[in-house]
Amino acid sequence: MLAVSEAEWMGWLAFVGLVMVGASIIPAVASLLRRQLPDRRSAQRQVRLLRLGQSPKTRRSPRHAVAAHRTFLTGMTMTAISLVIIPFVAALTKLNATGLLIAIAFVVPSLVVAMHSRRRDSRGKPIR
Amino acid sequence: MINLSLALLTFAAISTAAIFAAILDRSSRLAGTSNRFETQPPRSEWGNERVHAPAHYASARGLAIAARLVRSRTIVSDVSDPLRRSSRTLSLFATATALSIVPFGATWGGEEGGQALVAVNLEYGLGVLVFLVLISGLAQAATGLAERSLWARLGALRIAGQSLIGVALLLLVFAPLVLATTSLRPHDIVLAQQGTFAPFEFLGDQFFGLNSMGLNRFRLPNWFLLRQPLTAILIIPTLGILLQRYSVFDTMNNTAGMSGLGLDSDPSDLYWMGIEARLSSVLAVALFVAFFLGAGSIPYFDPSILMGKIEPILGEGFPAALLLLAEAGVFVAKMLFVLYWASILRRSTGRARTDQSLETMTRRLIPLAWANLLLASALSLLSAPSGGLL
Repeated sequence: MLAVSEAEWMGWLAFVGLVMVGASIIPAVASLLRRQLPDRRSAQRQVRLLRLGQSPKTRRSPRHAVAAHRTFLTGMTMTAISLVIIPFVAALTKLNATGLLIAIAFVVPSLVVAMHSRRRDSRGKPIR
Repeated sequence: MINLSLALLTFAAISTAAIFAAILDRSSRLAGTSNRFETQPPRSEWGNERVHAPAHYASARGLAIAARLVRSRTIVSDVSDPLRRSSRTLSLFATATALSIVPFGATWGGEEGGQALVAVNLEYGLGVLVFLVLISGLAQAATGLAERSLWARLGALRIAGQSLIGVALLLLVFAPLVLATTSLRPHDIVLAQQGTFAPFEFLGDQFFGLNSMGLNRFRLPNWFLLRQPLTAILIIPTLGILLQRYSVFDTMNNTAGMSGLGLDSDPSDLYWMGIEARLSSVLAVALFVAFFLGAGSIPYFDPSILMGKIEPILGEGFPAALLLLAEAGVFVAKMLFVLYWASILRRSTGRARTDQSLETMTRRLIPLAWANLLLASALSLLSAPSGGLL
């Protein structure tokens, strides 16, 4: 899929390297200057966590929610990669870009039917 | 060697656009409105000029930013620094790689089958672009997850939602371009936009004799902006929603940090956030220029005619290099033009809430993109030689 010549690898490396170096040059100089400052000023400062109120609810850390959310996002990404991107790439490599037209021919009729079908109640009226 | 030069040229073009975007952002934020005189800076005691606050001047502002970057780092115990740092690096890396895939011109010397004017010419570049945009969006969400506050959670959630739906929409909006060029290579999309086309050619001579009146002599540049206007209209909100970057101190979003605008965040963290946001907006503009405005092509100008005239005098290399520089210059000029209009559009329109933009994407834009795809595939089947592509 990524049939890239050696010259193109070099071009990519040069471009991404330039962007990375160009972006990090200012923080690098700042960090160099910070190291030259007297110790007391250059020491990292620990800041207490800001809390919106003192009630037990606001002080509680949402650790479970964080873990659940991370799992959800990882799951979504892995599902997208395994169900969509890998078959998509495999199909495109085999069928070339005309594969898209074939895919549309399969997908569009079912999509049109699905979009036109409405849930109806017992009297036959569409449910919004 | 030529790929290295192309990478350097792309870097110069992207840097110019990023600097221009920063200047536009700053001037549009400081511009007073004519109907609210109280927002204007006061006039000087003698003379007619305005007296601006020190923050108005670039040198004073640069000094203040540098001083903030040099001061000691702020460390909040509940923020996971490695996760935040790695996700920022990943996001920047993905955006930079996506920028290296975007072509800025046609071919070396305007020859058919010549060297493509792009740093990396990928066969499935469009698919890779969509994947990189998704990775960049999810890395933004991971940046929010590094913090354990509810507001960062909500921000991560809305960025994740927008990225996932935005990528689906982007695929649907790119599909008509793929149908028109039957290729996933971004450079082929740029090549398909060279030259001109006659918009009234399909009328034929038998239709009221309109073409005999000279309508078929009316030609427009072969840009997808003119050939597929609905796709061009759809890509604007898609790129706008997909590549906009929220931040806690975003004044346009009407949110502020605990102690003021951006004052309670780590300065270097703010710096990285700004760089990533700026590169994302430049990526959106570069994609629009390359895929809808013909990249560096000059309208109504055929490079082969000029090359044919100059080549006998100066040889092959010099005119081709001049043409390369001209194409890069035109690409930058088009990017600056689009950035200018985008900044006006941003100032004159309201910022939608996340739920509103998600609803617009799912209820309005995705059905419209499907309709546009059907229209484009019908037109491509009509115009294809007998039998069509199917």
